[in-house]
Amino acid sequence: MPAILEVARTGLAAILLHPLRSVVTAASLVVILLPYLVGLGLSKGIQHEAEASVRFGADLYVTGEQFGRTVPIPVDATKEIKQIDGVTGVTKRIIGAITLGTYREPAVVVGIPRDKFPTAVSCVEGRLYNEQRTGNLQELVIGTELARRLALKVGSTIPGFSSSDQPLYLCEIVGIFKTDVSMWQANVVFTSFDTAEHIFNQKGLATDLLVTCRTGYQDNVRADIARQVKFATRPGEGNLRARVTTREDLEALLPRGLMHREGIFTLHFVLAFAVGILVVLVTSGVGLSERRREIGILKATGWQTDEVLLRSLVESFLLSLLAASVSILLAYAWLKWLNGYWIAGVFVAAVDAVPGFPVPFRLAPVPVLLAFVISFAVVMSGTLYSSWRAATVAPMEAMR
Amino acid sequence: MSFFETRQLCKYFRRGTKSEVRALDGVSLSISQGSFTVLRGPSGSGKTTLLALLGALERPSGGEVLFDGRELTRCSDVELARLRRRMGFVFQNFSLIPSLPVWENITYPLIPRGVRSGARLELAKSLLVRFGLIDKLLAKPQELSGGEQQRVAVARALAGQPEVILADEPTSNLDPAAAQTLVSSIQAIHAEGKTVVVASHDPQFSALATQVYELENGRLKTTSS
Repeated sequence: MPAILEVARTGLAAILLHPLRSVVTAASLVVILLPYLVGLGLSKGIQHEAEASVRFGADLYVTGEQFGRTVPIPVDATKEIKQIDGVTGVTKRIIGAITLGTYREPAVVVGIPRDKFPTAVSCVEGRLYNEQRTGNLQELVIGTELARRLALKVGSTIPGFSSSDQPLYLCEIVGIFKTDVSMWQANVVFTSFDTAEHIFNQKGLATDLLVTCRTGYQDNVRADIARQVKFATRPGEGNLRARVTTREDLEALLPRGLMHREGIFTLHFVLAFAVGILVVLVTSGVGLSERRREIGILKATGWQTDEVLLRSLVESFLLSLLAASVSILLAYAWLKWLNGYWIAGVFVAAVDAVPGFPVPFRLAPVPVLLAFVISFAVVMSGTLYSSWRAATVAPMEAMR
Repeated sequence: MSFFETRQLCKYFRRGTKSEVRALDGVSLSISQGSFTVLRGPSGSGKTTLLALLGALERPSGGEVLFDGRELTRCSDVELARLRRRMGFVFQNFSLIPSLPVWENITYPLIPRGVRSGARLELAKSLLVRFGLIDKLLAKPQELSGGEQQRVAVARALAGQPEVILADEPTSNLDPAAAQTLVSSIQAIHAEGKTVVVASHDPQFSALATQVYELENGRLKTTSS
C-alpha cells in the first residue's frame, strides 16, 4: 500500500515538475468547459425562474380553441366561468408583441386590470396607468432597461406599431418600473386591458383568462369549463371552444422551449468540443518526447508499466480536477458578475450581449459533474494513451 | 556459475528492410558473478546493444539471454521490471530526469518499492557524500558538470542495492580527471562484491577487468580473462 501511495504522489509532483505542460493543458480545458458551464447554468436558472413564475401564477389558463389551435377568447366568457362552482376569481389578460419607437424596439404588451398589476413590480418613477383610457394617448408603464434603450422618461411620447409599418397610435410613458424583478419583465410593457384591447384592435377579446380556484376544485373547474364554455364566433360560423391549461401542464411544457435552445447550444458546443479535443491532444502532447524519455528512464530503473500508468492517471486526474474547478469558478464569475455576457443572448430572446437585467442562473450538480467527467476524459485521452505507448515498449526504445 | 549468459544473441534494427542493421549477430558469452567484465570494441561494434540486452532494456531479435538462470525473453513485463531492480544501469548520456533535483533523481527508482521520501532523502545524502556531491543535493542535473552528472547516475544505479552494475561508456563524456574519479568509484563498487559489466574502450577499465570481451561488427572477436 505505501508503494502505491508513493507512486500516486509522484503523479501530483509531475504536475508541478512540468508547469508549462500542466498550465497549457489546464488552460485548454478551461477554454472548452467554461462556455458550456455558463450556457447550462443560464438554461437551468431560466428554467427554475420560469417554474417559479408558473407556481405563483393562476391555477388555470383559459384560451379559445379552433382547429386544434389556440386563439383569443371572448371576454364574455369571464361571466360564465365565474359562475362555476369553486372559481374564486377570473382575470382577463392580453399579451401581444409590438415594436416601439423609431428604431422599432421589440416589446411585449401585457394588458391587465390595474388592480391585478404584479405586486412584485413597483414603479420607481411616475405612476400606474389608468384603468380607463382617456383621449388618444395610450398610457404605458415600462421597465428601466427598455426606457434606457429608447431614451424615454415619464411623460415621453412615442409611436407604437403592432403589425403594419404605419404607426397606429401614440403612447405616453406614465411610469417606469425596475426590471431586476424578473427577467420576464425585461421587455414587458404594462398597460390597462382596455388600452391593450385598443392597441391590438381586438375589441371584446382576451388572449387568456387567468382563473383561480378553491383548493381541491381545480380538476372539477377544468372539466366544467371544457364542457360548458362555448361561444359562437359569428352567426353561422361555428363554435369556439375553451382550452384549459393547468399549472401542471405549463410546468411540463416549460422545459421544451428551453431544451430546444439548450439543444442548439449543445450542438454548437459539440462542434467546438471536437475541435477542442484536438487542441488538448496537441497541447498535452507538448513535451511528448520528454514524457516518453522520462518513462523510458523510469522503466529502465525498475518501474513497472502499471506503476508508470498509475503515475500518469493521478497526474491526469488532478489536472482535470484543477481545470474543472477553475472552469466552475470562472463560470460562476461570468454568470454572477458579467451577468452571462454574450451567452445570455442565446437563451433569452431579444437580449443584447450585455443583458440589462440580472440573468437567472444555476450551476446544477449534473453539469458540474459533467465538467469533471469531460475534463478527465480529455486529459486521459491526451496523456494516458501516450504514456501507455511509451511504457509498453522496451525502455531503450522509449529513451531514444 | 554464470550470472549472465547469452546464446546466439542477435539484435537487428529495421529488420527486413534494405537499411537493416545487424547490431549483434550470434553472440554467445558468459559472465560470472562478482566479475569485472569489460565489453570492448570500436564505435558501432554492438557494445551498447549487448549491454542493453543484458540489462533487459531491449528485446533480442533472436537467441537467448539468461540472468541468474532466468531466460529474459520468456519473462513478463512485471518479471522484467523485478529483474531490473536487481541491476543498476549507468547510461552513456547519464539519462537523468531534468525536472527532478539530484536527490530525487538518485532515489526515484525506490518509489515503487514503497520507500518513503524521508528515507530516500537520507539514502541520497549518504550516496552523495560518498561521491563528493553532497552540496549538489537540491541542484537540477543541468546545473551539474558532465562528471558530476555521471557520478549522480552511478549513485542512482547503486541506490537500489543492485547485485550487478551495467555501465555504458561511463567515461566517454568526461574529462580525464573526472574519468579517473569515476573509474575509481566503479572499482570501489566492484570491491564491495558486486558484479560489474562495463562497455568501454577506455583502457583504465580494461586494466581492472577480470574478463574482457571484444566485439567487432556485432560479433564476438576475442575473449580474455
